[in-house]
Amino acid sequence: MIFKKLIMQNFRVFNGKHSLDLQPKKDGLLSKPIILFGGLNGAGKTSILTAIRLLLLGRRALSFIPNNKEYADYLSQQLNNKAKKEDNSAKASISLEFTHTHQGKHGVFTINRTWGVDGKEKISFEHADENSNLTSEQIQTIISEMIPPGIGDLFFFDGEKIAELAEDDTGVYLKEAVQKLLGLDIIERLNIDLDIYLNKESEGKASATIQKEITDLQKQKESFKVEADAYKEQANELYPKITSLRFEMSQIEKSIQERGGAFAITRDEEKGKQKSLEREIDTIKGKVLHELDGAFPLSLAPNAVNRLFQQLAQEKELKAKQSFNEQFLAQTEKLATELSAALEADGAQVNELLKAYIVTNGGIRAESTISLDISDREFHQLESLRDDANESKAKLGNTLSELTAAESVLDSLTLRIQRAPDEKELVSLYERLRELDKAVAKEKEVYKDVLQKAQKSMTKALESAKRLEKLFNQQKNEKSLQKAVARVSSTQGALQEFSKKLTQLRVAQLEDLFALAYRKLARKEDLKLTAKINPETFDVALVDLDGMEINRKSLSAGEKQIFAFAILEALGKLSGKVLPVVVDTPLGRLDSKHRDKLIKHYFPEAGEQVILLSTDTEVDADFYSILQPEVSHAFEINFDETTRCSSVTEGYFWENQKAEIA
Amino acid sequence: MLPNRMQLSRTVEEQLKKLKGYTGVTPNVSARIAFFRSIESDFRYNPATEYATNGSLTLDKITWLGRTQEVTELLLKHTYPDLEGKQLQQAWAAHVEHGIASLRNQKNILKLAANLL
Repeated sequence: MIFKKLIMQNFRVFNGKHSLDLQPKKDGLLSKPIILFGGLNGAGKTSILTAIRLLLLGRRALSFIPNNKEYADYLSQQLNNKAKKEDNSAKASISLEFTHTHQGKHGVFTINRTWGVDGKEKISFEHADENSNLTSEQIQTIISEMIPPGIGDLFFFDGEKIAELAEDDTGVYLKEAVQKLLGLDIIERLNIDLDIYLNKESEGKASATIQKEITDLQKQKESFKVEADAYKEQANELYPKITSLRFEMSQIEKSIQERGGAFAITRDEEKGKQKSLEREIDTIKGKVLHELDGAFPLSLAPNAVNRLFQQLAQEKELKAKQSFNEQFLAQTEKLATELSAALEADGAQVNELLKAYIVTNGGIRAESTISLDISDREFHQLESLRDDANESKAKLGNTLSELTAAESVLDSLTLRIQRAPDEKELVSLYERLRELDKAVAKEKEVYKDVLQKAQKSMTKALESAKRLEKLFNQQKNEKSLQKAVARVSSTQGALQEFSKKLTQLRVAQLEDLFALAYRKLARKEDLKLTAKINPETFDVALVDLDGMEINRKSLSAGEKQIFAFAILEALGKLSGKVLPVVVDTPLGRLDSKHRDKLIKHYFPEAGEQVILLSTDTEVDADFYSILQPEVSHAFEINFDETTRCSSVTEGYFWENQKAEIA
Repeated sequence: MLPNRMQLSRTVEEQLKKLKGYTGVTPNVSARIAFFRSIESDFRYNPATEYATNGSLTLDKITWLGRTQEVTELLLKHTYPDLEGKQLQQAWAAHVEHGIASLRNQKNILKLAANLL
C-alpha cells in the first residue's frame, strides 16, 4: 500500500482545502521512502496523523471505542474553528488516495469522509473497477480488510505514546495485534465457527418416533392428494351441468321475447279497459231495463192507446153535456114561469118548448155511453203518461245506440286480447325460468362447495408435505450429526495443535526479528540482549547474557521507545504486510545516540513509505542532512497566529531559508 | 177491473224466466211489453175458450203492471167491456202469451230492445 494523496478540508487547524502529495519519488532505481513533515508544536503535525488514522480506521482510530454520539461529538470537534465561525453549515472532509492490492487486484482507491457541525459522517469509497453503491458499514468493512484495526496502531502511531507498548506487561496491547498479524485469529475464528456449526446441527435432535411419523405423514399426504383430485374431478363434472342449465335459461328468455314481451305488458292495461267497458255496458243495460220498466210499453200500442183516448175524450164531452142538460132541466120550470110572465105567454107551453129544445139540441147520441168513466185528474195523468212513453221511446233509442257503440268497442278489444300471447303459456315459461334459476344457484353452491373441499384437501396435503420435509431434515441431521461431531472435534484438535505449533513458530521468528531490530537500534552495551516472548500472553521479556530477565519497568522512557520501535519493526516484517509507516514525534524522548540509530537504521528501512512528522529539534539540520538521500520530499507546516490556521508548503525548515537566501 | 193478484200460464211463465236469463228483463216488465204489443195487434181474446192461468208466480197487480196499470186496465175494459175480474185477468194473460211469442227467443237485451223500436 502506498499513500498517493491526502486532501484535508476544514480539518482541525487546516482552514480551506489542502492537498498533499505523499507518493515517494524515485531517484533512478533507488527509492526514497521518507516523506518528511516539519512543523513547530501545535502547527498541525498530529492533525495529519489523525487524518490518516481516521480515514483508515474510522472510529477505531480513537484511543477508546466510542459510541455513536461520542464519535459524532469527536468529529464535530475536528471541524476547523474558523470555517465553523464563518459558515454554520461548513463541512470538514478528508480524503486519501492510495494504491493497494485488494482481492488480487492492484488498483487506486480513494476514501473520503465528510461531516458537518452535527458530526454525522458520510463515507465514500471509489475504485476504478468497483461500483461504489456501498453503505458506510460495507465501506468500513472493506477498509478493515485492507488494514486490520489491531494493526493500524502499529503502523500509524505517535512516537511518544508508543512507549506504552513497552510498559504493557499484560500482553493486552500486543496480543490482538500479534494474533491478527500472524493470522492466528483466523484459527481461533474457525474454531468458534465449528462450535456454532455443531450447535446448529444438534439443535434438531431427531427421535426414534420420527420414522413412524414420517410414514404416517406420507400416507396422510397421499390420501389428501387423492381426496383433492377426486373433488377436482367432481367439480369438473359439475360444471357442464351449470352451463347447460344456463343455456336453457337463455333459450327460454329468448322465446319469451319472441312471443311479444311488450304485449304481455299492455295486456293488463287492455284487460282493465275491457273491464271498465263491460261495467259501462252494464250501466247502459241498466238504463235500458229502467226505461222498459217505466211508461215505455205504452209506446208499443200507439193505435190502441189513441183509440182509448178518443173514447175517453168522447166520454168527457158526453159527461159535460149530460150535466148541462140536467142543470138546464132543473131550471126549466122556473125559467118557463119567468119567461111566460115576461112575454105574457102560456107558462106550460114555454116549459114544453124548453124541454123539447134540450132533447133536440142537447141530445146525446144513443150509441154514446160512458163505459170507462174516469175523472179529469186521471185523464190528465194518463195524458202525461202517454207523453212519458213517447219520451222514453226516444231515450231508449239513444241508449241503444250507445250500447251498440260500446259493444263494438268491446268486441275489438276482446279480439286484441284474444290475439295476445297465451298467458298460460307465458306463465309456464316464467315458471320454468324460475325453476332453472333456482337449479343453477343450487348447482353453483354444490360446485363451490366441492371446489372448496378440493382446496382444503390440497392445503392439508401441502401442510403434510412441509412437515415431512422438516422431519426429513431432522432425520438427516441425526445421521450426519454423529459424523459432524466426530469431524469437528478432530478438526478442532488438529486446529489447536496447529495453532500451538504456528504460535511457537511465529514467536520464535518474532524473537529473532526483535533481537535483530533491537540490536540495530540499541546502544552497544545492549547488543547482547535477547528477547523472550510468552507464546500465550505475547509478553516480551528482555534477557541478558546470563539468562536473567530484565525488568522492563526499570527501562528509561527513551529505552522503552527504542524497545517499542524494535517490536514494531519485528512485527511489521513478520506480518508481511506492506503498509506505510506514519510516525509522529518520533524522536521526542531519545538521546542523541538513539536518535542517530533510529535515523540511520529504522526510518529508511521501516517500509516502502515512511511519513515522518517532526519538529525542528527532532530532525534538525544534522539529521536532515543524514536523512536527505532517503527523503523523497518534505513539507513545512506553518501556523498563522492571526488566523489561527495552518498552511503547508513544500520544503523543510532550512531548505526554504536556503531558497530565500538564494 | 183486474183482480189484485194475478198469474200467467205456466208455459208463458217459463218463457219469461228464460228471457230474463238472456236479457236481464224481469218477467213483469216483459209481460207489460208483451201485452202492449198484443193489444196493438188484431189479436182478441175469446172468452168462450177457457184460458188456464196456472203459473206459480203470483204477484200483486201493481207489481205486474207498474206505471202502466191504469192504461192496461182501461185498454182491457175498452176492448172487453163485458168482461170482469177473473175473465179480464185471463184476457190479460192471453195477450201476454200472444205478445211474447215473437220476443221470447231474443238472446240479449240489445236485440230485444232493437226489436221494440
